[in-house]
Amino acid sequence: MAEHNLTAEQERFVESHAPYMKVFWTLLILTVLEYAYARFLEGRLSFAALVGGLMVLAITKAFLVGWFFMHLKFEGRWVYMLLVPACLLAVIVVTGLAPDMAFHENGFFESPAVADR
Amino acid sequence: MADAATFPAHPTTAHGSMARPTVQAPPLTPGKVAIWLFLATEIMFFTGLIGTYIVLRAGSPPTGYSNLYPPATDLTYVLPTKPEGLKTYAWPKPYDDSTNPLSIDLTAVNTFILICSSVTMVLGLSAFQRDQKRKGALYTTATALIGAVFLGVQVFEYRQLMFVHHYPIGVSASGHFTPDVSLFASCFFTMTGFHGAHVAGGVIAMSLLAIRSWFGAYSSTNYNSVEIVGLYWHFVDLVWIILFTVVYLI
Repeated sequence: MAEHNLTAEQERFVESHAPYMKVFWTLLILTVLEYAYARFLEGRLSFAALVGGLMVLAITKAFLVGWFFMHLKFEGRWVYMLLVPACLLAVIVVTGLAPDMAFHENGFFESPAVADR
Repeated sequence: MADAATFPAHPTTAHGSMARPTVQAPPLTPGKVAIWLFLATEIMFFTGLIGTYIVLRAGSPPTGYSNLYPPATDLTYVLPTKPEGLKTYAWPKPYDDSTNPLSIDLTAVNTFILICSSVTMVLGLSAFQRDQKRKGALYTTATALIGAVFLGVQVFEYRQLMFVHHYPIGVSASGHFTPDVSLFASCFFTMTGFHGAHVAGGVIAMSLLAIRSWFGAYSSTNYNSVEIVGLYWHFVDLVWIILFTVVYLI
């Protein structure tokens, strides 16, 4: 969220001096971790653990991009008035589609490997 | 050096006292509101694609893919005979060459390339905000070029999948991975294709920015266009981070 009591000039100063390179190195490390997690732990973890771990890493990366690079950290509340309804609608769409998954006889989180013959 | 600039002081009044700040956040421009509104619709667009992918994947039968038969072959009469070496899957597994043709190593590198372009973009905006026009132009040009490299790698990947490589029967009956060979292929090309189209649009916009920036169009008082295109570019990067995980790694 935006820092309070700053003039436009001060906000611009803060924005232009954000720790972008630190964020870049963090993103790089997370990408390598994600690749290694999928490459070396695939088959050793349950499907749910694999999906959960990878999604945590991906969402962390997406958050860093949004928070620092898209300047959500510095923006005012107005931007959340646009984003929150959109995200809510997105959740509703996926929730609306969920019965198609939940009522399926295979169940989404059953590992595809269990079907091995 | 502008980097070492000190934090700007609050303006003072004629009486020497501190003036009340007039702005609490970065300037709100119509363009910025418009791009955020557009990005809100894009969130719903890509959520629709990813949600549909999850449903289609979850609905795929356990025998949808196998190492000995083309995708979607009805194995009802084959399974009781227990063919030697037959493995079936509901969905192609990553790193399983017999059913999944995607090159995860190449795409991981491409993901890194797109993240690099996001960094150069934000550094470019930062340079313009500090009135470093030449540096800003360099970063903006680098962003356009790196974005083009990402697209080039994606075109290379598509070409390899569709025309060059000959894949096992478990990937495709024809040996080529085209959008019509399986549900997996359709989903893959739809999702990455729409994302690629977004990147292409971004590269065009970025190229125009780069050209204008070399003519000194942007400065610390005029960087709105750079910020708007930058927001779009970062969003495209953010979507790819999710798509790479969902389509390639899981």
